[in-house]
Amino acid sequence: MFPNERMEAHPMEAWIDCDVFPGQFSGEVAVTVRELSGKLLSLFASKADVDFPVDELKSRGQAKGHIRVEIVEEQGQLAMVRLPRKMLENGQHITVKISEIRQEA
Amino acid sequence: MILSNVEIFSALDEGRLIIDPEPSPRIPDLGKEAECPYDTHSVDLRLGNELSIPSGGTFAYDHTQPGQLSKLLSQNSQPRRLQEDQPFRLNPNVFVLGITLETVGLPIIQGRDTCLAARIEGKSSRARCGLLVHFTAPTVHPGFHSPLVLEMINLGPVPILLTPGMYIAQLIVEEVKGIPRQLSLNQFHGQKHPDGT
Repeated sequence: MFPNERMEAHPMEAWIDCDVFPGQFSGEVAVTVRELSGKLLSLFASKADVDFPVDELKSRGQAKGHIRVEIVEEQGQLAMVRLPRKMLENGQHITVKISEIRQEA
Repeated sequence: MILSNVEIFSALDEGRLIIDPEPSPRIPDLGKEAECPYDTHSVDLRLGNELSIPSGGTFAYDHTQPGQLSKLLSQNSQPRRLQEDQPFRLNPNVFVLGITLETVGLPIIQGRDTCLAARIEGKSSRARCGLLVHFTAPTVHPGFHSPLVLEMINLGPVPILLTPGMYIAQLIVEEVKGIPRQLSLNQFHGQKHPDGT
């Protein structure tokens, strides 16, 4: 039996911290996120899914920001979240601490 | 099961398939049959007005080192904006990234028995000139919502002009039986081996 069969999953929108860099196309940005283990992972995301200071990204070539995620499941202090796009390293889900999740960008 | 053009129209009307802007006309106009983007079981997509051109260099991409790939790819490529009167000349054996003019969305709608996936494919008229518009990554997964990135290379002997708005690829839409399961924390937590153990 899969764990989800024991509990109702109600995806809920939220935001987590990320680093933002220019993307390869004007509608996207390159993003790095850090998962629970400390490992950095990266993806290209639509600008609509990332909150970041546009001027800072233009001037410095990078900025701190927040990326929209869906909370898929919570367990204790941890949550599995779904990123808006697949990561280049593979997969679309990461585990983060619940305390790192914001309800607003 | 691959969707016929009639099923593609239904999926568009029901919101199970999003293509924005929606290709038109659905029915060929008399005398302008070639302008209809729908074939029996596919819909043509157009090239957007941006390319990303890899810079090259003395470095190598190391896919075993996570975390920086998207940043490195961006840093080592140059954006190029296309104009109708100034197409991009894709020389033989040159690789660039393009992007479709259309955004494609395949929403997963809870409560339904199925959802949609898709594959992007080349067009024979372009392929005969040596143009590949994707390689190794044709799949559009359920839940996806974005323009499609095209991995383009000219394998032919002469240059090919890339003009924004040109029909560049075709989308094949398939039905996925069942609704994909959301992953769960338990599946990955503490994972140490490739098989998830």
